[in-house]
Amino acid sequence: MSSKRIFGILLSLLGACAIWWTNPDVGAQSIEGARFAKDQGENSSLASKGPLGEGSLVTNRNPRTNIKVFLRTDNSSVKPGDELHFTAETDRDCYLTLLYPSSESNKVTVLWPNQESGWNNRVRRGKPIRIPEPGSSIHLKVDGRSPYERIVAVAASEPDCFLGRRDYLEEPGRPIRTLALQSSELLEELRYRAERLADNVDWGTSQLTVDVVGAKTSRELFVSNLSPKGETLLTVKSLNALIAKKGYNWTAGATSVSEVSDQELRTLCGARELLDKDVLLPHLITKDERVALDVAQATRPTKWDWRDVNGQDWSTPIRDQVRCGSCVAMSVVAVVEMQHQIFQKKAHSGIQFSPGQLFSCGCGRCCDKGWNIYKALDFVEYEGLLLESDYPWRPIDQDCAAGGCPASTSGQSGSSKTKILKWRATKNAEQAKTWLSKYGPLATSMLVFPDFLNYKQGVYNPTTTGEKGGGHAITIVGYDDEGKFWICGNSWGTGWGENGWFKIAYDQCGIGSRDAFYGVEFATSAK
Amino acid sequence: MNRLAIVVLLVCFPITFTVAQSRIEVVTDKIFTLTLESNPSTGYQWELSQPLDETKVKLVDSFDREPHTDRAGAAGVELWLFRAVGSGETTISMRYVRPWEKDAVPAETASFSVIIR
Repeated sequence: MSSKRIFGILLSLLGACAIWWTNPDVGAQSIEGARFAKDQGENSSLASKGPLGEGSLVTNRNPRTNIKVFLRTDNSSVKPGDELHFTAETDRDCYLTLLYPSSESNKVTVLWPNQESGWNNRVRRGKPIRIPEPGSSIHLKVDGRSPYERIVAVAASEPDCFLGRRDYLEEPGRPIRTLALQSSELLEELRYRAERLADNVDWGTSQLTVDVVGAKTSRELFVSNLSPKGETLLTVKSLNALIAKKGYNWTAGATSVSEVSDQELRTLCGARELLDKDVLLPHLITKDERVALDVAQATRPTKWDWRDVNGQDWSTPIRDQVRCGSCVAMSVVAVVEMQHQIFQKKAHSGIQFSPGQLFSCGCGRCCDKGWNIYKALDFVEYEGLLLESDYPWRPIDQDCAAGGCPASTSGQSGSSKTKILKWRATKNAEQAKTWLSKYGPLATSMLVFPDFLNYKQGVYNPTTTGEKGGGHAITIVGYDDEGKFWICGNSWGTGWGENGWFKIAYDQCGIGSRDAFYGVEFATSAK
Repeated sequence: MNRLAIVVLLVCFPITFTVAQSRIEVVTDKIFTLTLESNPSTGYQWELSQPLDETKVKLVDSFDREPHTDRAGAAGVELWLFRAVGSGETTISMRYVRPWEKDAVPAETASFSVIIR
């Protein structure tokens, strides 16, 4: 049983909701999990506390456009059973939304606007909003199930701009609504939206957090008889020494202050057999006889790099998946983009397909679940890819319809989808190299060891192997038989590795053995 | 993602009980484990954001537990093992970062108050 599941069961056993509202029209109702605070929050940029958030609350650092939101509470201290009141005030006229993100339900309750405000969230400078308002049928009580609480305020000079009605779930009859976002993705979504607000929009955020005195439990302690290994801690400096000692030709970059243990280096991002051979090959064989890339192995160059083919760069820009385990979508889209350019004989075409659509519509809410390359390729073949402009990438879990223009995702707009003719796979490295030099790039998966996070340049060889961790999809754009390495693109942004690219020694990290190499075809890109 | 999953105490006999998330009570010379959800395929990992007060707790080990899936990009957990070495109270502060993004705001932070008896 997973820790999440155990945790969920424990939470459910704990019973009562943290904040209650009562409404004479519909009787007593509860908002699962809401709770509160005692202190202020003037545009604070507090780090998230555990499960409620996905990082720090975004802060508008431009004093000209920054709307200051002041959150205050009457409660000098909060304990279970207390009824809570707080006020929100802004330094200019604006549209204000007050949110309660619940860690238990993972829902975000919209405290303001509400039915009593007529769903109007316009506020005046210096005129505080009181929650609950005097005489309100809504009451907020702390149940003490968590040692801290948070309220988030979001303000913008334009209505329905930063947050708005499109973000509310339709809940007829309820005096308070729920946001169509989960708590766990709220802060990340706010950051994403803040970065994309028009320059003429003033905006600001604030949050209110407080420890709840006498809070009960919401965490679980297990006791077990695991024994520590007590191994030597390694720094990046010693990691580089280890690289040198092993005679490898890559460099670990200067990293953070953290120390990682030898055991962690062996296991943190260790090897997971991505697709079991016995499972994978029958699947490929039975699927349109795609047992191999089926290309002649007779003659091929000893090195190839799609980033430099007679001086022409056929690669597309490195992406950043951020915190979402969407490497499969990133890898597949990169391969399709490059193959599309090659097929059209037009380098730097600027074509950008949508990994967001591929991931959200092909896999769903999979940031923590990951995906399989062949399933992503099936989606591209049968459903097709929208353009990035029609379905922008967001590093969050979201439903298919939430990510893009609805007309685009339903295919009702003028937006067309691009499909591949078919895809092929092989576990034969020679066939893969031939495919690379004749047709185009390849997607594959590798085993990510922790020292890979520190890769800066050179030909990567893992300094450690051993226990398994997570798998990671990448894009292969070339090879070098003399240096015996693959040339690959990652999806961790351009700040990592060699501007987002890396070289990895042959026969390492399961490339080509634990997972296949996957190539795609457009109409005549392969025979 | 819920990064802070569970707090684990290591003693001789398996007993399950609950405590507040940010407050851990342990006995001197015992090992306890913080279990944090993590996804190495994103390039992020947990690290200590403040040096430990090693008169109170010492880091024994940290390692990864593989995700129970064959899907690339799946999240797993990191296990951080500490030993309580001296009585008193201290804080373990952690952050979820990419090692090469030095100036970036941590994607997540966690703080545990540890009381050693």
